[in-house]
Amino acid sequence: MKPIFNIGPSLESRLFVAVICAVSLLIADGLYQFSKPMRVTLNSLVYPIKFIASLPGEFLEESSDLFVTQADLLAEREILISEIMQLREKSQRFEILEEENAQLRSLMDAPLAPEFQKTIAELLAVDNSPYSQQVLINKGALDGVFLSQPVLDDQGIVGQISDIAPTDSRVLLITDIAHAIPVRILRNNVSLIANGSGNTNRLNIKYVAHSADVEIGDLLVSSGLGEVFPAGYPVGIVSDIVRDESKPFAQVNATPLARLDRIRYLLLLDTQAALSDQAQRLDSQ
Amino acid sequence: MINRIHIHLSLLVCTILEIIPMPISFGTYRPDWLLMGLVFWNMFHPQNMNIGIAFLYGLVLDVLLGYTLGMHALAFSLVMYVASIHHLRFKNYSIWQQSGIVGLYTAFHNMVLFWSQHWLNDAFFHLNYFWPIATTMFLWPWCFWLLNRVRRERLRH
Repeated sequence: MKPIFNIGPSLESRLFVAVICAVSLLIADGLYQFSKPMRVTLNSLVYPIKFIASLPGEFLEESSDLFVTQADLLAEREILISEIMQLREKSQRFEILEEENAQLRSLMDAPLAPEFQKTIAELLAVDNSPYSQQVLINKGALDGVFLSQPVLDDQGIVGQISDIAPTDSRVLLITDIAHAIPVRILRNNVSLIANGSGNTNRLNIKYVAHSADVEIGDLLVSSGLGEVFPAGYPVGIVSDIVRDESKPFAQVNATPLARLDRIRYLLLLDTQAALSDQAQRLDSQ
Repeated sequence: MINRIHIHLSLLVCTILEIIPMPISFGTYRPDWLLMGLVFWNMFHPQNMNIGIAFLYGLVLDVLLGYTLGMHALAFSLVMYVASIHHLRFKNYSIWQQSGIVGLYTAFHNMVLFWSQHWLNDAFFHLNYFWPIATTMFLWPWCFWLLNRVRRERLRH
């Protein structure tokens, strides 16, 4: 039976309590990051929901894998073989260059660029709203993922790890409005900061002086400042520049090189291990 | 008591629909499933379905989507308050009028989300914010029909 009169506290007092709770949570979490240590626990609590949500996608993928014809597989194999041949040829030249570079760097007494351990992760889910651009990947704390670990695809930098659960983790894309990455122009080493725009195909470059030497088509690579992303990985290409003298800075936009709208496999760079290796080597010297 | 089980099961389905993987270009059109579920059950069971429950589901959604805790909780509690005040009138509206009102609720929900994002992260306004309103309005009649069947099925037993 439905009671005719509402039982319990009035609507207004309920709303009051809820709003006070929500706003204090927002302040505590948004401004002071109080939930950061508990996020792994919170994430493992809601893991069942996430797991059920990932089932239909996995099922579709598996069934589409079942119905691939032999001809398709052979064609794909052909493409992959030719790609491997081209890459091997490139890596032959690359090895010589790397050695030469190391020799030159040691002549100049500059530290060697460390080699990173890489882990391959697969995409689980995408959360793409203008408010937040994140993807979920299938590697988590158990696979040695750590906070702010750099994430790449085969073209360039994708983002960094923002949230870790035991078996999966969340990647904040470089185009998220809350994300910024220090970059430099490959052509002339001008340092800039690329902010996310909330749009998967655009980065906003902030605080560019009108006189700065920036041209359309310039390649932006990570500068290694900020110590999250290692130096020298491609980030984007400058796509348009508006030099409006009435504004304090020039408006510069860039297109990310990583294909953020069609992510499938991602590379996680183990910068922590490489850095501790380097520190040990410096200690022993 | 039995009422609550199917309410929460259907809300769980709504939560799953909110996070189910979709191609990245469809992400901006994702309707607010959970909001539709909450408004529907509030209309028929206002005594079981109140601001507190909306708050809790908002919190779960915040954790699932990796938002700052409290963002969806705040938006859902405010929408739930407005919906609870008007639930008797809302029940008597035709389905098309209802879908208009649900559109307004979604707009309000998105506006609260945008404000809190703007305040915390300096988000700036984007026309894409309007898409969920359109898709939610479009899907409300179907959602209503489906949830109403769940409700009737339950009442018969």
